[in-house]
Amino acid sequence: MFDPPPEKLTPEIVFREYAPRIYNIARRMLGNDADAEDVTQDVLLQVVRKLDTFRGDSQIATWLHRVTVNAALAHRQKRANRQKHESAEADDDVLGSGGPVTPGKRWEVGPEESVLAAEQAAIIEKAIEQLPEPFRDVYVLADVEGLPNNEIGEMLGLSLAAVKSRLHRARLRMRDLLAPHFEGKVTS
Amino acid sequence: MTCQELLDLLHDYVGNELVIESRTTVEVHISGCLQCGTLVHAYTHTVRVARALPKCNPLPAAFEARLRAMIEPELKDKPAE
Repeated sequence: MFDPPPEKLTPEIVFREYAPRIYNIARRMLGNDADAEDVTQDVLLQVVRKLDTFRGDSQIATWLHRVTVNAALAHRQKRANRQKHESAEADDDVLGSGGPVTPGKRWEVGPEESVLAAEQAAIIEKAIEQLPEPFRDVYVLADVEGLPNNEIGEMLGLSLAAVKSRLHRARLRMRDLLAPHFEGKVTS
Repeated sequence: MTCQELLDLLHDYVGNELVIESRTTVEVHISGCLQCGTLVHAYTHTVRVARALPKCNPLPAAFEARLRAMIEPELKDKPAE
């Protein structure tokens, strides 16, 4: 999640502290650098232009998430309109019903591991890119950003049940995508 | 409890959202089912590794320079004080 804002926001602080956060969310949702750059630019301009409004406003973190998600969804819609073969519509059948699952082996990522090696992070980022968009959105906001499901539902216009269902299926898909990389060697 | 029933409860189990009775039922099943134990282990780790991803990777240098140049006029209109 975005860190709590400093007491007084300046344009430089906004640029330094928030632009990378905006970019990272947009990059993960949209899956490519060019689109993430467009969204970051749009959102950053909005923030700078409304800076006076946010001085001392403890809700800026929530606002930034909302504006970034909205900008990313709008950008994706525009892209989909240009490229007819892509659809921004959520298809809840894309990842199936969530079962049955294939058996696997225990993973070698240690239970206490909180910092990922660059190679592991790259594998996970690549797997996120492979999630269908509606599931990727929920997964990024819930499991990467750590936002609560009800807040995600409000941002994406989904019921709580739909958020939980998509998140569950996204996690199962991520498990399948990551298993070849993490399965096997350690059985603890 | 069947394996499918466990799968249906997995999101809520990992999120600590189950009432104690349901949680106990899940844990009893896991303790006796190697396949579900492995699934829960892997599922939990998909959550853990996602949360461990860096949230604030730096901007690509070229983009950072372009972005700074782009918002420069806005900064002039709104002095930092």
